Amino acid sequence: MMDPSILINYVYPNELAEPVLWLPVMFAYAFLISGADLLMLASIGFITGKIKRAIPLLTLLGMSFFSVILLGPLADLRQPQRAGLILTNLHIFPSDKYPGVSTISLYGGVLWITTFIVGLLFMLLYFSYPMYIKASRNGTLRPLYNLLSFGIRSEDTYQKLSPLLKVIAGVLFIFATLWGLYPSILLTSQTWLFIWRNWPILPVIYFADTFVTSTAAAILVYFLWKFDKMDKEYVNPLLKIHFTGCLAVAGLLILQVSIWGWWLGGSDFYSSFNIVIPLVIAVIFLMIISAIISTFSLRWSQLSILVSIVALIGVLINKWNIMINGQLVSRTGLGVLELTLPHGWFLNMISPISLAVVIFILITWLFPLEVE
Amino acid sequence: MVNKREFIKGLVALAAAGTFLAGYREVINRIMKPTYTEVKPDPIYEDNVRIVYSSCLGCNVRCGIRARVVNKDGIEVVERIEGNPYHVYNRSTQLSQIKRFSALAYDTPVSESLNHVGTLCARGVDGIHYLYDPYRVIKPLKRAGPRGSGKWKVISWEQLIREVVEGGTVEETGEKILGLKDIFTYGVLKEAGFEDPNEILSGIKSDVDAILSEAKDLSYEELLNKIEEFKSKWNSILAEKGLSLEDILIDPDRPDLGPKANQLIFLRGRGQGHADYFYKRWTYAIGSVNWRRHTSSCQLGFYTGNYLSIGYTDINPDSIGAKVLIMAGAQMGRIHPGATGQGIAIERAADGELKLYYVNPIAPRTQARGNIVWVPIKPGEDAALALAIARWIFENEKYNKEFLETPNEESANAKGEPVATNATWLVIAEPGHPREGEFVKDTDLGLGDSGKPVVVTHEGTFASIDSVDSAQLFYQGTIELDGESVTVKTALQLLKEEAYSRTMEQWSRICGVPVETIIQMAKDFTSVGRKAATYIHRGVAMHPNGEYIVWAYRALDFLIGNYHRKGGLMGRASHTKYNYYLYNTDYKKFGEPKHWGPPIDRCKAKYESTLEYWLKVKKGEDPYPTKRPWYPHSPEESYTEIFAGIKEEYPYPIRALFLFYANPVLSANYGTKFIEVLKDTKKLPLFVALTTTINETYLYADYIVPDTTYLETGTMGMQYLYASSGSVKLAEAWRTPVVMPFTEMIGKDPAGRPRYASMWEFLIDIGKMLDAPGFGDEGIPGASGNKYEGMKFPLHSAWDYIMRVYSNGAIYALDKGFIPENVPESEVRFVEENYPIAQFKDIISEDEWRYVAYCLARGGIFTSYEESYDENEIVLRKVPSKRKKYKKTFFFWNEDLAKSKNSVTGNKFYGGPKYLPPATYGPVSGITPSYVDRWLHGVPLRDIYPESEYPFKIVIPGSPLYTKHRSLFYYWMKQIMPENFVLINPDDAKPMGIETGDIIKVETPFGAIKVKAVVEPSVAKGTLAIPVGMGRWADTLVAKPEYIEEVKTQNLAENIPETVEIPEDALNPVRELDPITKKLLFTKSPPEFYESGSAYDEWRFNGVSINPVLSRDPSLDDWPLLSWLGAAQAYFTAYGKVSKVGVKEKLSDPFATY
Repeated sequence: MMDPSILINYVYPNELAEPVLWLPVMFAYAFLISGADLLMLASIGFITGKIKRAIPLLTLLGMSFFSVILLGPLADLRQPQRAGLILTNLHIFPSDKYPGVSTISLYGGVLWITTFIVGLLFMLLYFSYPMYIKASRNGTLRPLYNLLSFGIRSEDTYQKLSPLLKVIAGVLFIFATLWGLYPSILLTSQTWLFIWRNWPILPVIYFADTFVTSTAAAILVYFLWKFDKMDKEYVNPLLKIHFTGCLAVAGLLILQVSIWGWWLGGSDFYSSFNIVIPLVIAVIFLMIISAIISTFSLRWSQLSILVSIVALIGVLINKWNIMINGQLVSRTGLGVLELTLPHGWFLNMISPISLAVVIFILITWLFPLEVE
Repeated sequence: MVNKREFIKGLVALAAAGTFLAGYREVINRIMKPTYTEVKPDPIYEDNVRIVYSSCLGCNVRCGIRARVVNKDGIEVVERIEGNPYHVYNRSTQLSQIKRFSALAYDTPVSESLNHVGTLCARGVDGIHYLYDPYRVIKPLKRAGPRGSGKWKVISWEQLIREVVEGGTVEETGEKILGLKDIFTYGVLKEAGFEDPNEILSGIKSDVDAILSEAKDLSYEELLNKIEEFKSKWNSILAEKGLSLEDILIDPDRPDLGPKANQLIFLRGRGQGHADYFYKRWTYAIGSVNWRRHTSSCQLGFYTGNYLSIGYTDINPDSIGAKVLIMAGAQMGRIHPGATGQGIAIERAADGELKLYYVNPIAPRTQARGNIVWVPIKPGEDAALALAIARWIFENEKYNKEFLETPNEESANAKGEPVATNATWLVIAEPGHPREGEFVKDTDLGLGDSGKPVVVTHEGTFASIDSVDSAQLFYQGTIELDGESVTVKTALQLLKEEAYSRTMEQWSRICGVPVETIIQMAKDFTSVGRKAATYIHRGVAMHPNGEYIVWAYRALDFLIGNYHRKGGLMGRASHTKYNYYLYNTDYKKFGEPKHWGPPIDRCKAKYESTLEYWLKVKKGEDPYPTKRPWYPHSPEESYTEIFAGIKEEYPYPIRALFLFYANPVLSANYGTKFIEVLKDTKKLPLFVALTTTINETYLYADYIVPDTTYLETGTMGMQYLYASSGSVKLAEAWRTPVVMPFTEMIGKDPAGRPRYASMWEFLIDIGKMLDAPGFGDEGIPGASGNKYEGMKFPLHSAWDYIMRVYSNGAIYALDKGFIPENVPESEVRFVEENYPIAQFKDIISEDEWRYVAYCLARGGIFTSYEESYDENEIVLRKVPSKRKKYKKTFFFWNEDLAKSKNSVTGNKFYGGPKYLPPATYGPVSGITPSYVDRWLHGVPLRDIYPESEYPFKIVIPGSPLYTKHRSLFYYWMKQIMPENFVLINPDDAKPMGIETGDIIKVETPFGAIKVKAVVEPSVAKGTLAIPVGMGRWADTLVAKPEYIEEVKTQNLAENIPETVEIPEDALNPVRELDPITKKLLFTKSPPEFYESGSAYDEWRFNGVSINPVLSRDPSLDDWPLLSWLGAAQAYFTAYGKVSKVGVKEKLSDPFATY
């Protein structure tokens, strides 16, 4: 056994904080941040020229989810009408009076709006020429489509736009990646909670998870969209990325469990990880299963729905395990608290996700899911 | 035409929109119709804010605070309390917020200090609720039914004073209540016409001393004749004014018991600065020896152990300079220097600058990156660990040889050592010899006639301790004593033999610490020179054998010679002469009546110096056992022995008890025993309570005197700091009112200054009405040797007293160069604009006020760590001592202890560090001890309460949040940790199927309680831990403690009334506050709680206290178990068993609003 190299507090289990301070609506928050994962994948796809055909879907789905993510923390505020004050009184520069920097302010007040604008810019410019084509095919909404084409009326002009779009995609990639990592930064900085404090590779796991989440979401939507007419050229690049992401997540989780064992194995503290380890193992299996199915799906595209569902179950379990179960070990690192979910928690949780779905459906009426 | 796909999309969109609206409706509602009242951000620097530096009283640590008082429409509200950055404990917060090692430089202008903030613990911040407690009593009360009936009525201040002095009647029952006048001996003499009562009292005392000094050489008849002669002489003198000795002495046949005034006890709980000095002064003004303290329930075992070995009570390490600490029984975040001050040790450990072994049955609150190592131990068995470490040190010769070989203080000083030890002194070690345990004296060996102890030189000859500068450490031999060959050993030889009396494995089995851990501790402890120390407190000391445990630990410090050095052990920092510099505000030399006699608890009193002893001896009777034990080595006082003394009327009957800031019924093990005494109006005819609320003890009072809190005038004055006081040269915190008192205004003093009901004004008015010395127009004499010598100053109000106290401190600090001669005007202006006390500045001279203001503006006087050591790293303070001789010599062997006897058996005590198991004080009939040691006078408790029946040991830890039982008004803390529980190790819980939340029955040999379980391995196996601070059943209102299933031989429920009848206008200083402030103060409670003051609020009374069923001593009539030498409450020695009751409840969640 090795002494943990971190501070371990001894506090009674009912001392100091609500057992579960961040309620399931915050889980939804973490899930909505997956919108950034999709945008990140879209930007990579655009820059590298891979998964070209999935870029519209990734972009539209990503923007839908990303646009509503602040609804999560908004619902968690006791005085949500004061949210504006939080955003207009940002504490992002240290001062004598208020030393330090608030990560929450930095993300909620600066990075969200910046990423949203960059994402929107990327989306609008990316769809500019396709909107012109769409305008030429549709009568009633032609003025709107023409407006959204921003004057790009030829493939040649659109090609000339490509370097600018790549720059924007590059910026979007950076911001979206920062957002994709945000939940892990947020959690590991909450040093009073034993599990989060002792999850050192959480940011790396989150990074790998962005690829799983985004590809699984894209495959799911693509399956619902095309159903029995799935195109290998469309779905296989996604499946390959998905395969790699799943194995990465599974491997990293195995590594994390091993680190816990190496650090604290045999000590009283190790037993506290029992609150998360069973679900970690479940996630590892689901990731491996999804990865295996994805290899078969390269040949039988219809199977990709299973890839997506298995992976998304794994992603949901993983996020719940980290976010909710992670709060259940007391500050002592020795006691386990009882989880009490608030009344109506499920509806509250899925509510902001539902809005993202609404937005996605609305913008898919406007923008094409497929660009030639 | 919409196709099928679009239609489905539309349906999905609609469903999703519906889901969103349903789930988010409540949030939207909250945004659209917010239910809040906007409160602008806290005003901190605006014109209507006052800022006052003062001193905290959340616990006894005496941190510095800075309070912000906001004027809200004419009503002043204390809105925030934060740390004082000048204070050595609180230290200034720097921009980085990582290192907080230094306090703000003392000469920093106060205006600049406002840009800094000191750290402060949760309790300190929550002090606001002590002030704003709806259950506070603000008007005088008198009982309106039998004692403990819970019926009270409001009386006027004048009636209160009159009845306490002259006596009163409980109209509802017809009972007569004694007046103090009856036992005010000085007043009786004066009223009879003796112009100088002290002349009479001094004469009587002098004759009593003469009888006692002759007693040894007199026969029984001669002794009786002496007493008769004494009586005859003084009866005739007194008869000239119509008095007799019966009017003056408690018992003329036992004049050594003292004057009748001794029948008054002033007993205080927490003592602080000038409240303590003031009522001590008052008690002495009445002429009683019985100024008593609560120390037995606090840390008396620790004090006694230190006192026996070091000659001073309060010793602890310099956590700033130490590299290795063995922190045993000293709770993290709790013990001096408290949650705030201890931060420095934790920060240093986290930075790898300090290794700390946390010896405790309960885990530390941090491991500081592995540099704080938890060493779980069996409670009460620490001496085994300390002696095992000592054994390793001896085996590996890791002790400081040169230091220990130095036999006297002069030689030590010449070698640059601040202290010496008596390691080399020879002790008579012949078993059964009448002088066994005494030092060999130079007179015994014909080496001189000074009576000084003897050592063995390196050449093997004997020499007086002061004739050599080095001597042999380990010696065993024989000497001829009165023609008899007698074994003698050096004091260190005796310790070594004790350490070698068991193998490391055997010591390990006793204390439960693995051998390899013990060896590692010993290696680390001896690997950093003198920068290692033990850091111990009540956890190791509050056991029957506690003093021997403390001594065993301290012996480790002596072995490495770490005292009075940077990184080593230290006493308290110096302080100013705040009691006697310009003015005599002290408790002596102000004209107080001559007083003598043993105190009621027989602490610091020697039975063998009483007439009771000599009369028995001379009559040929065995003087042992005594009715109750005597504790000559106890440096302070004992709750149990005070109440046992009252009950047994031993050594004399008591007539009046004044109880201040205390709750013995709940804070002592089996303190409910004291209720029997408190309810007995014959044994205790007058019981006056000075308090802010009516607790479990005050419930039985005749009168309630409303007192002020520390944010008003309560306990104002200077506060010395406990060891090691930030490890600086001089430090003292100054407490001053933050706001004017909320208690009833009782009038004005002759100079027109307002007076408020409080302990201060009550004692002043009693003193004035009795015409006692030290009160009234000429109450405060000028101090001799200074400009006011020969002058007298008035004492009509608390202000008269405290302003002169401040002046003493400030002028002393000025004369010694601690404060500047030229005080900037801005400093004075800051105090005058912010501090309520400034309105009384005219009591002292303008010059004095300037310096007082400078100190008040900083919340005290502080020096820095850097300027507190010389080039040899010796701290620039005096070596403190309470001994009359050998003040700077540390004892491995204490001759006085070795000569004293157990009051039950008459056998001698062992005179040095030793392992003895927790046991009763004396034999218990029918039980033969299984543990045989001739120095053990009682029966091991495990023989009476075997492990097979009571497998657990029970401890009652405090925490940074709760300090004893006076913390329930801390409203915010109560919401952080809403209820307590019993901690049980999973290995113990699992076989019984106990899980967190299970209600379990914890049964001791003396009763049982029901309590929620928390299963965590943060408590050692075989130990149950029940944090103190909750389970109250009286705090102005009452609530029957349903959690107590049984207190054997008592019907506790019968002693607690069903309800309390108390006029609402006598309570609640909160009512007048503005509605928003009240809501913010009491977020969790219904308005009735803070509007009425007599509305029941559940949170105040929840949780449990196991104290009522903790240990008793069957060898001493089942009174609460005490330590053998100091009479400390042995509340950490308890045994129990547990069982499930079949009910499971969720632990109360904290109620955090953010």
